[in-house]
Formats: sequence, C-alpha cells, structure tokens
Amino acid sequence: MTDLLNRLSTARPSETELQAMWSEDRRQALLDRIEETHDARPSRHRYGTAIGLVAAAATAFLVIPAAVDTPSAAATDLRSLALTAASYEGSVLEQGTWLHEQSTSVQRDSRTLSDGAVYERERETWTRWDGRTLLIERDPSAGWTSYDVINGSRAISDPEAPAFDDPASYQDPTPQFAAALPDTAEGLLSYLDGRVFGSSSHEEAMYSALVGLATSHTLPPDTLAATYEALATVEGVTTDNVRVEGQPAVEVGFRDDLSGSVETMTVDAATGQVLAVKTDSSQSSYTSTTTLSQVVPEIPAAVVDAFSEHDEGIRYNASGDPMQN
Amino acid sequence: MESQRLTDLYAAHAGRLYAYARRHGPSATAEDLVADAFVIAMRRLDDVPADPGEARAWLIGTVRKLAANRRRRETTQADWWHDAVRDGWHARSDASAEEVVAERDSCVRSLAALSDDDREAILLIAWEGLTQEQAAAVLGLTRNAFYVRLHRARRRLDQALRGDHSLRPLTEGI
Repeated sequence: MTDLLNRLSTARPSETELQAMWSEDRRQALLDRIEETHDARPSRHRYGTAIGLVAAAATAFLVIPAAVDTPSAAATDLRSLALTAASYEGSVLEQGTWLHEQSTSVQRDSRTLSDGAVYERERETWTRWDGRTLLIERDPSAGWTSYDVINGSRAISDPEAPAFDDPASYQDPTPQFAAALPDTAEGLLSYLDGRVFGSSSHEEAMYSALVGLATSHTLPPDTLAATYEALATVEGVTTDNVRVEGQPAVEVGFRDDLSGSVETMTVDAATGQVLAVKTDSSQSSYTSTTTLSQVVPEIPAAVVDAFSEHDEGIRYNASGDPMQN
Repeated sequence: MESQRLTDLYAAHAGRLYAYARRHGPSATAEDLVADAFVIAMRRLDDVPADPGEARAWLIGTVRKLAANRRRRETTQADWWHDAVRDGWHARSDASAEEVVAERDSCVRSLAALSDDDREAILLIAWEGLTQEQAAAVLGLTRNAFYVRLHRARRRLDQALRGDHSLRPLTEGI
C-alpha cells in the first residue's frame, strides 16, 4: 500500500478542482487586496535587497577552454561515450550482487529559502538488486555519522519475495528496475517522454531524467550507452573536454535559460562511467562526486555489525555516542 | 513591470498555493496566507526564482513559514491537511463515486498514520508536485536529508499498515 505517492499524484487537484475549491471571484478579490497592500506600502525600495547568486561549487575539474558546444559536436562526443559504455567489461550488477559506492557532496543553499549554509557529506552505500540500500552518511566538519536502511521494511525470509512495495521509477532506479529499462535510445526516449515532469522545459526534464539514470550507476552497459545516445538527441545539451585528476573526461551540460541554472555531468572518457554531477541554480549549488563504484558479492561483516550496533535516525559522534540531532 | 510580474506569478501559482495553504487553516486563513506570501514576494521580487517550479517552491516555502508563525500565536491546532486533501481530490473519470470516496478515504487514513514531518514530505512531492530538490528547499533540508526523510516516511507508512511501529532492526533482511 506504499503506492500512496502514486495514488496522491494521480488524485492531485486539477485546475477544475482548484476552481471548485476557490472561485475565480475570490481569486480576483484577493489579487486586488494584494495590489492595494503593495501600492500602499511606504517605500518599495527599502525592501529591494537583492540576494546574490550562490557561488559556484568548488570542483577538482579543469575545464579546457576550447569548449565544443555545437549540437553536432556534442552529439559526436555523446555517441563516443555510448560506444565506450557499451564495451564496458567490468562486473555488472545482477541478482545476488550489491552496488557499493562512496561519494562526497557539497551543497550551498541560497539565503532565499534557507540560511545560506554549506553542507558537506560523505556517503557510503550498499545497494541490493531490489533497491534495499544501506547508507552510512558522515558530516566531516560536524563529526557525526548516521546509519540508515533505505527501501527496506520487512524480513526477507522468502528469497522470492519483493523487498518493498514502493514501485521503483526512473527517478529512483533500483538495479532490478534499471535492468528492465529499454536499451535503445529510441526506446528510452519513448519511455521517458510521457513520464518526466517538474521542470521548466521538456528538454530540461528529459536531460535531468537521463542524467539521473546514468548517475545511478545501476544501468547495464547497453542501457547506459542508450542513455548517452538519447542525450545526443536532446536540444540544448552541450559537451566540454575536461580532465579529472589528469585523466580525460567529458562534461555533459545543460543550461536552462529561463532559470539561469546549469546542470553538468562529468563522465570518464575511458570507461563511460559517471564521475560527478553538479547543479548551479538561484536556490543552491550542489556537487556530488563518486569516488568509488563497484559491484561486490556481499556486504562486509563489519558493516553488517555496524548497522546492528546503531539506531536509525541517530547521529553518532566520533566516539560512537549518540548526539542530539 | 512589478505589477505585471505579480499578475503573472499570481495567475501561475495562486490556485495551487491556496490549495497548499488550505492544509494550514480554513478558507479565510488560507487566503490570508496567500495574500501575505504574495505581498512578501512583491517586496522581495529579486528573490523569487525565474523558473516556474522553483518560484512555486519559493511561494510554498513562504506560506509554510507564515503558517508556522501563525500557529505559534494560536492556542488550538487542527488537521487542516485532512480537509485540503479531501476537498481537492481529483476523481478519475473511469471510477464510480463510491470508488473515488473509498480511494480518497483510504489515502487520508494512510496519511493520518504518519507524523507531521513524514506527511509533509510525502505531500510536497505527491500532492504539490514539487521535485525532491524543491521540496528539500521548502523544508530547509539538504537534498540528501530529504531523500532519507522521504524513504523513512514510506517505510513508516509500510510498517504502520502492517501493525509494526518499530524501526528496528536495521540489519533485518540483509
């Protein structure tokens, strides 16, 4: 029954229901009231403090000035990444294996909605085929560590039983879900075309969805290749040749002119695997860098023990003692 | 210029902002919250994001703060979200009236089993239609923290429906 989100999304009030809840007359009356209030204020200039855009996130990437951002050049780069991704010969996720990842992230919030704080996090995850994920999160500056299990709610005594009732989606793909996605660009575009939402343009929504899939590190090689080929067809996608720790990489980007936000994904040119994602917008900047991504047959016993010894929702200090959240 | 921006923002967001505000009070209170949010928006026009989705998140976040301030002054609290979801429920065209009511009441009961924080996380995504990034901004959380909160909310919902209110043990099913 945890399809509650889907049921609520389906039942979200349409414009007709909104009109029924709040008539046009009352809407207009309220607008008139707002305009009267606005016009009556003593000075409209004393409130006009502009909030500057947040600083760009610091990254270790060196951008080569000679950017190749014409559509054809971007498409060529992306198709090259697709060929590389398709020929990946490393371990591939399958039932019985776990995806083990380590990443660091830095989020800078604007003062518009928040307090302008900077958050640094180190995350280590083990993700099972069905999406059950063990998450260890650390705040290096505050010195706390937390232990959470995501997408797991009951004992799996029956190995055939699903781990949870929440349906996976392109926004939050499990390895099992990713394995069933179309592995051609046309199929992937068709699948996402009617599903993406919540962005300022359809192109930006498609870009975000495709980057989200690639960044999940759950896609089989052919599906990852299809993702890059699909990105090559999205209008507005650009590429830059960059180096990450001296190694060649491709920075895939999308600028949303309406909001002024810029999203980028950095891909290892040698393996086709995503190394980092970055978003700069008026609300915040966010950089997440993957420092390890590997397929492992099991979770280390020490990690299982650590989860046995710590409660969910609690932050523990360096001594292992619970802290006040 | 300012007036046109207000008109555009109002036309684009007032209806859904009112629906959100109804989760914090009766109709008159909701209108007050919407009015106050738009007055603040006009005073801080440079702060309102240009992106429509982010602008809606900004306005929802503003209403949320205004509602929190109002709650602190009031002696009584009520579950207004309950009425807001019932009143705004979109009926599927292929469902009978009985099915719609049963579906709606089932979801309301499920939501009622959640804590305020868990319910807010789920409603911001599923009912208001915000992205996880926008919902995180509304709640003043990092996107990672919101991701964890949303999953905890789903998990608690699942446990509540199974009559198991414990979150332990973490290693269950590994």
